[in-house]
Amino acid sequence: MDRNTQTSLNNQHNRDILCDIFPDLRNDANFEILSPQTPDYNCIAWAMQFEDRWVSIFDYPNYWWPNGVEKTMSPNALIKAFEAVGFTLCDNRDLEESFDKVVLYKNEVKNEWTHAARIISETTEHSKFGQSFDGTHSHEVLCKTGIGYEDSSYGIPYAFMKRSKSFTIKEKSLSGTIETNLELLRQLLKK
Amino acid sequence: MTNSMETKNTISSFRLPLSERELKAKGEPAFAFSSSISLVDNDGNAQKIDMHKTEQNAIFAQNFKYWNQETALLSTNNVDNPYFQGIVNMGVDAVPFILDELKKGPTTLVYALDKIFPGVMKYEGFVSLNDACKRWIEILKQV
Repeated sequence: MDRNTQTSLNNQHNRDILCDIFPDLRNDANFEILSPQTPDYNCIAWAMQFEDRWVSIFDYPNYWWPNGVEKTMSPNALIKAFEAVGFTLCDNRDLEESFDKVVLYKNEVKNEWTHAARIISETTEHSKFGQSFDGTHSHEVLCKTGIGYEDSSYGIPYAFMKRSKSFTIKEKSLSGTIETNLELLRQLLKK
Repeated sequence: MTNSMETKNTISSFRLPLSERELKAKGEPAFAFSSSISLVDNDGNAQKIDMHKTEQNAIFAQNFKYWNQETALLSTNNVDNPYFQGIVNMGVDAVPFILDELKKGPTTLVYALDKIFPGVMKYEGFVSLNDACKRWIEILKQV
């Protein structure tokens, strides 16, 4: 994407969409929108460095979850999911040469995982906001939500993980099929 | 799917004014509509208006707006939601509106069609959102 397009994405209108939900972004000097909205991948996928799938436990055709990892919302399940794609737990967010680092978030009331972000500097993370934009922001500005958006809260960071930059994911390419029953559709439409 | 800034399935048009959000946060109704409208011309001739379609349009629009508002930034499950279920509950009446949205670009709204017409699509393995939407658009053209 050229710089002009990128600058245009980071306009006040788009910024306000996210700032309404995460008001601490409004005064965050590190906040910048970088890519267009897309429902193709979520924050977990982004943190794992996937852009071709939605990484979550629910049963929808474009959702993906690593084989063998418990399909629950427990914070530990998300850690296991990241371990399945080569990450290991580490103590802090400090960047290490040759490693990519991520931070995991949870809703502390429900004790459920909610979000993950790439750590890109001592002060900055890079998040994909659900189906919306992705962009950079300071640490922990996503913990507070605006009025009426409480259900969108990402909660608090609870784990840091790292993966060698040379790690290669060994998996079969994603594939699937769709069978359609036109006759059934016609019958259902007649009802 | 386009990558333009104005990606059609944006949440930009669904920002709620603060007063409406405050009402909703308190659990109070934040929208209402009337279904009693008649049109009479100067000669006294009454014109029939398709109130059902107008009503369904309003119901879909409000459910779609709140579904987007509540789930657009969630990374866990951006489908299951009471307003999404409100669209499913519309049944066949929702189909033209869902189809309009699908034609603008991939959206998880497509799964409402799977719930309205169970068994019509059988997915095995991983299927991208784009492929699921394209297949539904194709099959709906044939009926």
